[in-house]
Amino acid sequence: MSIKDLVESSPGVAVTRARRLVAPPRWDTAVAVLGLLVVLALGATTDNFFTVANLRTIVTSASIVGIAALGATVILVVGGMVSMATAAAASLAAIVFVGTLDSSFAVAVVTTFAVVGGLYALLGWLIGAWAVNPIIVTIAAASLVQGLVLVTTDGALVTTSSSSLDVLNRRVGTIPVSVFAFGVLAVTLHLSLTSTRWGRRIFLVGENREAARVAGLRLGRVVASAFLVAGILTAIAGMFLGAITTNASLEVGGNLTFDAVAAALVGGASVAGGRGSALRTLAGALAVATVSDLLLLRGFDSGAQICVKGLVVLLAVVIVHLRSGEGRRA
Amino acid sequence: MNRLHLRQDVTIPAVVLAVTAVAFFVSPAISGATLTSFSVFNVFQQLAWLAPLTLALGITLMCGEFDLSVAGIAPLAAVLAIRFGDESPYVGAAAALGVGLVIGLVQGVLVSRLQISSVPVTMATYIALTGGTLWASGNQILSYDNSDVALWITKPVMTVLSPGTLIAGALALAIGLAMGLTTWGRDSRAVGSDRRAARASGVRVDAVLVLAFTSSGALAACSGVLLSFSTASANPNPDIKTLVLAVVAALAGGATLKGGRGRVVGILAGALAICFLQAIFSVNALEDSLSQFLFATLLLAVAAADAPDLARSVSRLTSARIPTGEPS
Amino acid sequence: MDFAHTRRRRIGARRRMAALAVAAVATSTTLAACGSSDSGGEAAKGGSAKGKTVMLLAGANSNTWAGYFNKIFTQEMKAEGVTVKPMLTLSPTEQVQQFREAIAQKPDAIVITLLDNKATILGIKQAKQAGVPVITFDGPPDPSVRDQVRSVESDNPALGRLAAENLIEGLRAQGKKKANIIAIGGLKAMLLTQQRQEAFDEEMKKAPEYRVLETTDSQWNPTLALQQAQQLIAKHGKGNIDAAYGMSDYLAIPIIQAAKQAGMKVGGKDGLLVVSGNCFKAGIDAIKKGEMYGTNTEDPGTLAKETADYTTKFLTGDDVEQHVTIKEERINPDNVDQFAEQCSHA
Repeated sequence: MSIKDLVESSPGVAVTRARRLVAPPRWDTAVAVLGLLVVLALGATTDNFFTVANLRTIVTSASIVGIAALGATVILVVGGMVSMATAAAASLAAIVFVGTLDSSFAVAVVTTFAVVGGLYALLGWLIGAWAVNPIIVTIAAASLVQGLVLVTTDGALVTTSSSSLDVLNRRVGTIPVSVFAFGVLAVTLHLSLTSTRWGRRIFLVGENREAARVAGLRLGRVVASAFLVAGILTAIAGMFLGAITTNASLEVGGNLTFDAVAAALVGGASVAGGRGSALRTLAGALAVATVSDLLLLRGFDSGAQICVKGLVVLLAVVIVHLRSGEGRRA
Repeated sequence: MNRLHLRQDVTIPAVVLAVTAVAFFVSPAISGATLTSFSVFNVFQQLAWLAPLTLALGITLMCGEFDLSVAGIAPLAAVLAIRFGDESPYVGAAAALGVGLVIGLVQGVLVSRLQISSVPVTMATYIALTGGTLWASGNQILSYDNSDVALWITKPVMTVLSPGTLIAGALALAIGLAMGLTTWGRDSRAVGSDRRAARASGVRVDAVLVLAFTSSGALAACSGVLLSFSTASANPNPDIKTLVLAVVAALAGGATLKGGRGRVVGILAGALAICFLQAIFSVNALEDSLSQFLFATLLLAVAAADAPDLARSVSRLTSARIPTGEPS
Repeated sequence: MDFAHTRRRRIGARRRMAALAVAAVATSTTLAACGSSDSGGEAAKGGSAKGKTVMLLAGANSNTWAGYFNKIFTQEMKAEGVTVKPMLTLSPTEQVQQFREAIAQKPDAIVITLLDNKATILGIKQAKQAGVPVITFDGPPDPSVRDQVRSVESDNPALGRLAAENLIEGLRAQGKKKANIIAIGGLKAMLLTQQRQEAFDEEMKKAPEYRVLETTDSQWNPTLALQQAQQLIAKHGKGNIDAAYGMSDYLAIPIIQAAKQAGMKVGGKDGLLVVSGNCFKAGIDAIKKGEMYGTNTEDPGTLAKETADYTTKFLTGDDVEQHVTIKEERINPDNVDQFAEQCSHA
């Protein structure tokens, strides 16, 4: 058994995580419950909030941002802070996907995953192996993507004559495919992060980079694998966006960069690394969508919705931080 | 902070500035564009708002923090300056500065008291301010009726400068003097290099952080006010490109995301270098994609130069004694 | 990274609708002037545009609408022997800077789409002082400096009005006696958004039996438009919404997706009737599929040609009207084929 295996299987790491998972309710849970109650009370006094249609709306509007937020979660957990390239990568995914769809759906999906996943894996490797600053390198990647797309497409709109784009817009029963995708991806990611060796390594590197290195982990590979997953998740979000707009340009990514991180932060992930959960990010995405929905139903304009979203994120960040005990003075 | 650092903090930006300046003056001859004194004036006009914004980022970077919210504070300040500037531009500027100061103060207190990372805090603030600015502007691009202010602030002084540039310069000078003559600069870099060591050696870490974020908020607000007064308008929609420019400028100016580095004069040189770079693109009417590639390359270079483990593996490879800038 | 995300949209927004023709008056005046020897323009009359230089200040090519405009405009001008120097950006702040720089270059004309019509007022005044002619295209110049520039404008009020006409026509064809409508608008801060919205609302007043329930500000962001459409459908109930207006095709398409996701029938004899403000390929496809009832022109190619034509005439010293408005066309299922090519570049 190597040192690496020892560290990974060391009771300390497992216990810390177990404790985190089964920790008894604390004040932060109380705050979360209180928040939920406030939302429920406001919802009860808001016309059309508690309707099946509206709840479906909330879930649907959370889904695409949520998938990107799952990607942001992996990056946060592995200690890669935030990707400032999310919107650019999602746009790139939409462009590659729509651009290759004429061959076949499978080819398009594989190509998109390869391109965006590859790009992200490279970024992850730089961040992991060389400790390159994630914020700078992802801003650079966004610029690079924009430049490359401009050169290759000559600024032209990417379209397809294939009708298989509609697959992503379909509904199963009354629920859009994107919602199922979000749910399945969240559960899969959750299991991967909590019950596989890969997941343990991701957490280990995020919690303590130096310890992981000493333990013999290849930082470049581990972080690259985390970014690869994040890239594929971002690509899936981008493909759904491409399907909605039915064509692709550098613009379909929209505000995804900040929205994805916002949902992950509300879900309790931390930029310090080593903390985050796919299921809680799912809850975070739903929470953000619920608050926006509530404000819209109560007649607030988009400025107010965005402002409240920011404040919710701030509150979540502070609570998560206090709960983690990171703030206590040595 | 040793002499080597001082040299790097000042020399690197100086070299970057020299290269961009030479390219700015030489490139029109190659591309066939005309270079006039007005082009130089334009460079300094951009510096008027980019310098305060870059300094805002730079001061927090010195302390090892990253203040994304400057990209939200500047447009809010621009809107407030015009909203409250009906009677007098001073009132508008004061309102904008006050709000920037308070937002910075609150963030500084949060970051220092709770010892929380500044990235998520300032990102949340940025999102909230984006919404707040839309609300404050009533979803409108505002125009400033007092166009005398704009004419005055952009009036050429000594051919290539303007009152706007001079105000920005005076701000930078004041901050530079304050940092150089007091322990502010040294303490900031100490807090940025090793917070625990700084605290142990008696630096009031909390106070330094609060001061950094408060100054950052105020400087970002200045940037917004200078921009809105010089164009006699305010656009409530955030312009991420300006944040990217300021980040590149601060990094080219010798600040690093690791903290503990950077000097006002270097950061100012970085900002001016980026203004020259931007002007090279517009004067020579270069392709859009080219500027994206150039910025990407520049950022990658900065990121690589700043990556501790890259330096480590390079020095392992060469096994030569390369000064890697270990904290002194 | 989403540099200037909202910005980009704004341009996108301006889908130029394009006009089949520039106002006939302008054209005829121009033609007439060509044959005369009498001078009147700023440039030497009857001369050639050859060897002249124009600065093009337009949206960056990452915006497909702007990209196609830039390509066609540059092509057309080149054919006339005019050098086009582009300064492209989606950032209003950067454009102010570029505008100043463009003036310093003293070109024969500056052709600019105003990303922020307020922030460019000062630049327009400075250009006037420096004697550099400014020709704006697409969105309207700010009223305060309208007399100091020349313009080739998309007819934004018409784009709003025509959308309402499509809506009313479509609803009547469905035999709806009463109808509720939701509207997803562009970035409210922009003058062109306001002009389209006002004209739309004005025209809708002519059919009081059809009621606009709510209008949102989607900032020209299709993702936001999707969410807003989903929320409005939930808020009012899917049975209570009969029609929707998206201010451009890429805002209307997300409405269609949202409606389908909510289980609504779209198009046809009794489904949700969707109309849009200006055309993209996606909108044309949707009309052909029967999911969208109609849209309008404002395509980049037409505007680019008209703007190039106007600029050339101006440079050669022909008399041209100071302000030219492109005629916008209403597109519906009957004439969609006629506009398919024109609208397929963005």
